[in-house]
Amino acid sequence: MRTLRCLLPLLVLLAACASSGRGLRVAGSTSVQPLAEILAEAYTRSGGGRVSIQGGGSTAGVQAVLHGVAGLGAVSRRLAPEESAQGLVAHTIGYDLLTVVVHPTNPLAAISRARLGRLFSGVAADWRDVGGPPGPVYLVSREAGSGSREAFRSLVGPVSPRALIQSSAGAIRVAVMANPQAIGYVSLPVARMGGLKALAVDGRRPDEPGYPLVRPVSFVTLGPPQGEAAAFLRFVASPAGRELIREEGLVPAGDGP
Amino acid sequence: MQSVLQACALAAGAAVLLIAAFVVAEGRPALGAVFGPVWDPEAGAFGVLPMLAGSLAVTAGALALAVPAGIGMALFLTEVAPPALGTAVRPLLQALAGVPSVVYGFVGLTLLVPAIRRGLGGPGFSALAGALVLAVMVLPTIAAVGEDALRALPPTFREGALALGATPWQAVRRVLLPAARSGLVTAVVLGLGRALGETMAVLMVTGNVAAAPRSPLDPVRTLTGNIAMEMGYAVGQHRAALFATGALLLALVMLVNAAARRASR
Repeated sequence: MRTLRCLLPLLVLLAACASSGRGLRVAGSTSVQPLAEILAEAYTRSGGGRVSIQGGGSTAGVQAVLHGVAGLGAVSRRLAPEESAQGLVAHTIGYDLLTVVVHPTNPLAAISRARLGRLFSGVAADWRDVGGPPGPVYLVSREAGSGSREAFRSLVGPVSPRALIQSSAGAIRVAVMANPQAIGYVSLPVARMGGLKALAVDGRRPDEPGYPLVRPVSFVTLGPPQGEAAAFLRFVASPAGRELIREEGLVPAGDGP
Repeated sequence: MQSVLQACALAAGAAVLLIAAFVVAEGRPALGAVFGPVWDPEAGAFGVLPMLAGSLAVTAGALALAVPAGIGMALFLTEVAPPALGTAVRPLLQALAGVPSVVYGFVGLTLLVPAIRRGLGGPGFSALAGALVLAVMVLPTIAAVGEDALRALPPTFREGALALGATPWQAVRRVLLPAARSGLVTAVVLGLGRALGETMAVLMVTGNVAAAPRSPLDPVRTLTGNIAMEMGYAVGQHRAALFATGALLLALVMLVNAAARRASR
């Protein structure tokens, strides 16, 4: 009994160490999360330390790095000037393609950026207005503050306040999959999970060069990267890391957007 | 022993007061701005009235469904069902109360939302979907607490009513329900509290449009959902506005509790 009493705190301590580990913690953009998980797994397999990935959104990632909760923040938008002023450094790892997705039964295959803007601002509220069959348009968007939403707003235009709001890229995918009249936007890796149709924008498919809806994807650090974070970033920029980024549907940094 | 228990009670009370004070203090800079009709953080508008309407709509809808069903179930278990059936149903009710809310949300998202869209129209993500999910979630609370309230009545009440020639229904309506009123009101208030505070399950099925609903098929955003969705991003005035939303929720729950205490007297 006494041994058990002595061992118990030790066991608790051990369990706590095992769960948190000494590894690198990455928090941030939910649309970068699938790629970050693949990179982390490959990094650990190639002999690197443990890396744990958390979502929460771009701004949550920035906050986590600022407060020292995470070593790296995954950010799918440009850093705001006041964020850079606080000592944050963005390391762009690639360019994400913001994919406009509809239900597979939607006859539309392509859309112009101008028409997309009219749909999402709420000016065009019927599919007939953009060359589709008649019926109401159900917009599905991310919440205010999301990196995807900010990128979409700067590339396409304002989002109607009547748009349905889902708080992750995966939830947008589920919502659009369930509704033949819905339209939403997600990053290409999420669109590739299946069940959705990606629209060509301004005549370019998302996998073609010149696709217009492109945004930088970065890992941010507080000051220059050090230790495990620097090693992970080196791996991400290595040929193996760049290949994984390409496989996930992103354009690796250096290949140009 | 007494001092230990006293310390426990004080700690619980202090925790509530500390949380309330913290929420109000953090929300104070935005308290003036939150009673507006437009929520648009990108434009600096932080009015939570649409979310207040959303919360009230889904909560009222849920109670309209769950209160009659829950009290009916309590009556069935105490007055009608043979004891064997009661012992079979009670664990099921408890299991229903123990299901994590995200599971209810997921079931609602995959079954209810498409069914509403196909059957009734609109986007499917709606106040109605939220009310239905919440109704199932608060039903076990109302039924269990209501059953306890009915069971606590002296058997002489029922026996006396029946001996005077009342039909079973008359005995329930004229004697048992009025006598158990205070306990039944408690059951409803507990259900109301859970419905008002529930976040995840509602967030998943209501569509979260920050506009007051005009029909049950319109999407809504609740006060709790608003905090949960945007807290990761909020800084400055936006963050203060979310804390003010929390303070409003707190005040709402306190108001409901006070009203219930009066009604049950």
